[in-house]
Amino acid sequence: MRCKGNPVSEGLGIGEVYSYRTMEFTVSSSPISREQVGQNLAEYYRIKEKAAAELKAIIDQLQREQPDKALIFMAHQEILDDEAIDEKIRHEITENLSNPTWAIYTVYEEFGQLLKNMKKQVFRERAQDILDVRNRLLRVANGIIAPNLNSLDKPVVIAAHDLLPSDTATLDRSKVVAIITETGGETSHSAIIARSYGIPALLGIPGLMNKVKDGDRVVVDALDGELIIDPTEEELAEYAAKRERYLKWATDTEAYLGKKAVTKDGVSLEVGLNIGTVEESRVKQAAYADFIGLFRTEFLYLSSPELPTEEEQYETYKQVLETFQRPVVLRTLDIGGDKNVPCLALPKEDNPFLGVRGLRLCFDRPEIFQTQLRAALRASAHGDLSLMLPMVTNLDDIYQAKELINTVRQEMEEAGIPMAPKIKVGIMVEVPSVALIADLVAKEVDFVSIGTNDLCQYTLAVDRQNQRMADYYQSYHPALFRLIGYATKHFLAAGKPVSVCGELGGDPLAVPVLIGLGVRRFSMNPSSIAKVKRVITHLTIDHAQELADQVQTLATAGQVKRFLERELKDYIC
Amino acid sequence: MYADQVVVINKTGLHARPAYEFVNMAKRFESNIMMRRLDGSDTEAINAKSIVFVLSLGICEGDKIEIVADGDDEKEAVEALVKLVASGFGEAE
Repeated sequence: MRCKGNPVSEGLGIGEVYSYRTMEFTVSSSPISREQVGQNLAEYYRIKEKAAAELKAIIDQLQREQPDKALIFMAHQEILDDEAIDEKIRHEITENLSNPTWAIYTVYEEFGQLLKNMKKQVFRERAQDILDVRNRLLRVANGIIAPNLNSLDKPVVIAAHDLLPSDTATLDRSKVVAIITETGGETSHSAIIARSYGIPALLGIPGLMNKVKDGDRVVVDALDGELIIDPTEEELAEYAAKRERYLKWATDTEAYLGKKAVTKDGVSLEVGLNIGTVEESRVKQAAYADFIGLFRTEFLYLSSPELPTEEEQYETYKQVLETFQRPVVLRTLDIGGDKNVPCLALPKEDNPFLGVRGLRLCFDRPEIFQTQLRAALRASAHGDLSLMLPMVTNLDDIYQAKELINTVRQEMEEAGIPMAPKIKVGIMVEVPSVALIADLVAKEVDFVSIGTNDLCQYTLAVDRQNQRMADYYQSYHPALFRLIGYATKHFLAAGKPVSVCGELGGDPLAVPVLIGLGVRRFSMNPSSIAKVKRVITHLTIDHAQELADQVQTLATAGQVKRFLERELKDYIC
Repeated sequence: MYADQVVVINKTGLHARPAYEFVNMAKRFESNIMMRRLDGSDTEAINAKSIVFVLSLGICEGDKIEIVADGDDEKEAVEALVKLVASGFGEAE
């Protein structure tokens, strides 16, 4: 059986499943009688002591091996010892005649909610700890022994609903071939851990825990985003070979990470990084990037039931500038009705991708836009910050946005708030209409960045989210290359820098074509940097131009792909 | 009963290590200790020996809090906690 997943940490793992089920326990609300109170209180204390003993054992072990991770469990100990929670649980048992598991479940739920509703993220994150302690207690109450990721006796593929910090703190990474989970995306804890340990990971596989059980053989292809359960012998051999090929290629490619992005004939290019949070492993990779070409700010709005305050945003933007020590291109809020964003409460639309999204939403809710602009302008005092506007379709958008930016700037100047003397304003080129009036747009902006994913969606009339449209989403469609070439030519003629920050910008097959079309700046996910540098190093500008010319004469995306794979076979996997 | 007020001066506010230090200090005393945030949006008084309650106040740098203790060592308790908060929990600027 094959299922699709989101490959958040590149690689390929083959092995047996170890299903990690921490969330499995039963809770019944059936009440106890008054005579049973004493016995049930004793039972509660027995559960609590057992959980405390588990925590102590983990802390002892971690303090020897990874003291920083012990802190997670010391925080859990504090929660377990919390007087108010303890008092409330005892009250539940003695007065409301709840059984111990129900008392634990409801009281922890209530305290968890208390923190979940808080404004500041740092406080909200602690709700996870409370949930974590609750799960431990309920598991102990059900008499289930802790599954332990630190004493795996053989290499396994870990399958889980989701992995929490407390699950992975004791993870024996040498025994983990791959990680697969039911929930979680690019920025989930599971993804961050997998990337920082270099473990292939495929997340967001629907119904995973019902599809696999302990000992099942699986292939985790976190290159093409596929999980193969119970593969045939032929498939096994095929993927084992693919894995070997990948490992060899990855090792060779790794050597390019620290190199400068200079073509074979000596033309320097700029390679940037796309980021969506300030994540530790990203920071390390930034050392190999020339700039942060796309700083997505949506996470600030997605992680909280309330709008991020100016102060919160300012702190985050400042942190990004100070942490990365590179020029940062901040993209203003780019969100629409396809996403459920509690703090924005967006109305449902029939065609959210053609509706109130990106800059349109910012115009619709100017107070939200102004708050973000103020925070960004304040942060500009701490580093090289540019602003990039998403979802621009005409010049009116640009005039209006610039006017708003100027008004905010003026107010701040009058109030004597420090900021950079000049801040560059650019746009995302992701709708064909602005690509086709590039010469006019160029007069109004300082730079542009081509977002190839949306440009593909809007040029080819394909809903990216619609699985049935997957075959129509053709990133190598010749029309796309023609359009990018046309826009790039006009922006460059006006002296305005062009970068590519969509998927094509980090694709070693597409980058040579884009170079041929005139692009000299690329921004990409960290895992693409070495690959892109590798192909750049072996390329001359003449060769790139030939490729670009050829590609624009080919008829279909399939032909383009096959042509590029043939031409560039020495540099790709 | 004994009460006093103090302004939180450390950057993290009552979160992470400072919150735990605060609660652990409170637990050293026999008295019942309650606290609340002042400044504009006054909160209800909560048990200062509960880490979850203390976190739930969401106290940040610059917030003013009131600590109230009731018991044999009430004065010592409030004084010790006020001193701890006023010291900035040893967070260097």
